[in-house]
Amino acid sequence: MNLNQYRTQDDGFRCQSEQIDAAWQVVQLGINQGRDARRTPVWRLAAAAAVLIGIAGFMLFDVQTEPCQTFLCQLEALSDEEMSELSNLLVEDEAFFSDLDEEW
Amino acid sequence: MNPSEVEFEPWMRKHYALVLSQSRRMLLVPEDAEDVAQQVFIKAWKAWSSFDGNGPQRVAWLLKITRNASVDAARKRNVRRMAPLDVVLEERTAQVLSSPDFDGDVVLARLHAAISTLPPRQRWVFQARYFGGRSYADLAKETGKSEGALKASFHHARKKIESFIQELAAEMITGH
Repeated sequence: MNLNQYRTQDDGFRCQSEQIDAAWQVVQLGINQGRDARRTPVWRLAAAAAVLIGIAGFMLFDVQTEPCQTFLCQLEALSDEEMSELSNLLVEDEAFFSDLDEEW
Repeated sequence: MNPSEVEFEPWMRKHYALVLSQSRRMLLVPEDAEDVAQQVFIKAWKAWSSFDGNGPQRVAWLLKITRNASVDAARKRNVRRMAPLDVVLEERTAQVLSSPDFDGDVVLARLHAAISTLPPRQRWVFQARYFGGRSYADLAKETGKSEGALKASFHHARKKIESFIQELAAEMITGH
């Protein structure tokens, strides 16, 4: 592949070989850190999984004992009239932000 | 160094300038562009051994990662302008001209300053077309967007850039 096909106009920015050397050092460090991270002991993974399961269990219990704490639950509890008001607000918001957004 | 790393290092060295030039044009600040370029290659390394493609496919893949990383970084660093546009353009033109890696004139510096004021996606399309010389078909393939949408983005960007450059030309002619 001819990389020069991508360069039609000179952008004026130059890349020195020292920059590439420095970048390689940083990337190599990132590569080695990733490798070390993959060597996490199994007991630490098991402990993390146990903590996550504990949190999930607690949250599930909490949601079951407090049935209307979640946004979804509160949304379902809205009357038709309240829901219609909310939809109007969302449509207005969308119209406002779409002006600020880009073409795609 | 493992066998993959032996292959990866020369590949990175060969393509680093290509990645850096794109992120540099997108972010204007040299340190930010270098950060993005390095992150792109760390990401490329992580998927290196599992990527099943030939040389050109790897380069296309690299450009795609670069685009995502540059647009994301541009969005995060796109702090709302508090100063008037002409002041921002002046400041950014001076910033480019004083960068040690810049080897261009005031008009080119002004062009980079003007590009930096565009929304990130327009900026990306403009730099890819103008400096990269890439076709709409190529850009559409990479982004998954229609050629029409990309043409519209480029058209809007070009109109804004032209007005900024015309202002500079007027300033240069009148002397203030």
